[in-house]
Amino acid sequence: MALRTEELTFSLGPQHPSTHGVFRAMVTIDGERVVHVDPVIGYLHRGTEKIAEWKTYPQIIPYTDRMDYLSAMLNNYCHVGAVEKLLGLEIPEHAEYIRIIVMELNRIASHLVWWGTFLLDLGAMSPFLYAFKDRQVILDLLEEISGARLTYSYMRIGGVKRDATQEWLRRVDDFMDEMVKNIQGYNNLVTGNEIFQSRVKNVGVYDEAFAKRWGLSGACLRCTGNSYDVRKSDPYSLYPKFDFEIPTRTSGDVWARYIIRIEEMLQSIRIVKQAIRNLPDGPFMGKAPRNIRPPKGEVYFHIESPRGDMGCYIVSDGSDHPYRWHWRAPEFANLAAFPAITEGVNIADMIAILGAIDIVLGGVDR
Amino acid sequence: MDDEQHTNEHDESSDTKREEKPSERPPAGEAVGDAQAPAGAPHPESAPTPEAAREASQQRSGRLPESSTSPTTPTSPPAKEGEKQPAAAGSARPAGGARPAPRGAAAPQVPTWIDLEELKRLLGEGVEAVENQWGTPVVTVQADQLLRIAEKLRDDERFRFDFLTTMTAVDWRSYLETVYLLQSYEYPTHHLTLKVSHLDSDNPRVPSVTGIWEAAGWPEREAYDLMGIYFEGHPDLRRLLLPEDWEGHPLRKAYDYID
Repeated sequence: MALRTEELTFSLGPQHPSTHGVFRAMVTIDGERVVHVDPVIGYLHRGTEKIAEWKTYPQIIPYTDRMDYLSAMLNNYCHVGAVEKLLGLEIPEHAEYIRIIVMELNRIASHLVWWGTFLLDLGAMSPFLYAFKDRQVILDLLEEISGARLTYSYMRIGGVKRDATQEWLRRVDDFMDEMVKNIQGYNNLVTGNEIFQSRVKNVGVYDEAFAKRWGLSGACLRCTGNSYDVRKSDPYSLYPKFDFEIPTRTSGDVWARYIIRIEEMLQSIRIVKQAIRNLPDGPFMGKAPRNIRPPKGEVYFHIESPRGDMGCYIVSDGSDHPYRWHWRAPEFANLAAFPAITEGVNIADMIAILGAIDIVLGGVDR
Repeated sequence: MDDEQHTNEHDESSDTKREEKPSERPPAGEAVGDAQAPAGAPHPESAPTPEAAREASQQRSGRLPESSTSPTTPTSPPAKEGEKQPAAAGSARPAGGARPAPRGAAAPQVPTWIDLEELKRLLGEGVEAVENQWGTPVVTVQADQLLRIAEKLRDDERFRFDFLTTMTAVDWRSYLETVYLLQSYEYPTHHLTLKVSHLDSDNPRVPSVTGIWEAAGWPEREAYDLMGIYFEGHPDLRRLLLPEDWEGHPLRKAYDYID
């Protein structure tokens, strides 16, 4: 005889520890099973796209910091890259190398936050402390070169704000060696843990067709076997010069997304070390006009952020500020698929799935 | 301030460098503008060596010498009103006049993966305009043909645009426009921008493409929320970012946001 059950709707968040910022979900459950999830977003909506219409192109750079605040370097690059594409600017190779170093450092720092908070969601407290200890070293390095811990505004249209000193590069290089060992430590601490594995394996499974329909990117796509990564698939900057791999898995579950991000950190370390070894001499600022007035037209420029395919769409009317400025946030697209992934799973699994999407609400809400 | 001074320094140094060896082709690592780039268009796509890869990526970024801007098709003017001329006209002209505008600016490359005329022919009726924007074909279609063309772009072997990266809208004051930025997981270097233009500002209605790309769900809700466009057939058209009781649509140019 079937047990009589009743559906219950409750609000998860907006200030729940497992929601990474102010995300709220109206969750309908039947016992332990999730029947329906309706994400409620917008708590961090600051109207960046509207603000951008009133700012000159260089003035927009600090606003990009504040969208996905865990990957401000990459946001900076996405915006200046779009403007540089509009202007047809040539960037000195030295500057481009420094950009790659700071972007990959930022990617590692972002993945570390994800790693710590994801495990926090699953109930493991101590990994968070390890992750933030290592992340702090990277943030100190980035602070030294840019002047800020999180909101770097380090990129300039045409180059970067300041040159990297030899001393700084040496310390980055040293820390990368240390970081390889630390990641091994993370694996010893967490990855092999059976309890952890049973929490994430075969949880939140979807296939490649699903990922494509929902326009997923980043680890959320590569866990299904597709190796789409903008750095390799539609190369920008000087990434074709670097030797690195795109980690993929085929199981499509939370475990796959976890392993991919761990391996991505190792690949980023490879890129940083190559960049430091091969760093050419040259200016850190290219030949950029002081008064930036791109020609009329529209342009879309996209890069691989820690969370996936991030893009900047600019409609220029020939003036010094964009007529329309639109941001493609990968976590926005990835989060949109969250209700479809979670249908019918347990509540605890829902938290694991949400954590594995790796959302940053500043980027989702913009 | 200080970065602007740095800019000056390096501009000057690269200027002198340019004067010293005007005819030499710069080595790949040199920090010079593309003024010295070879006259012929760099070979597209294939990138076996790092240098070639860099050239290819530059080409994708729209950094081509001016000589390669020979008009290809009558349907690919560089700009809507035909005003956008290479470098000298539209691009940055510094206040002092000392620094020349970057060469190659506003010299939109031609899409490498398809000819615009052919694209127009393949998409059939309902195509209002096909133009080239920095190497990306921009296709404007009639609203009633949007779904047919979108489905063709997704399924046709020639296109395979199965990745709707994002969807947004632009307010051109007298009318609205929806913009669909398409990519392909299969051919990641192919980009295409699909548009439905001249929507009535008072009652903008356009068919929802959620049936073709599920990824359109949230971006269409966002465009409804911030631009006030009604997507017919959208399964769940509610405000997304703003509270439900918000009045008006802030991304409209006429939106009065100062109370």
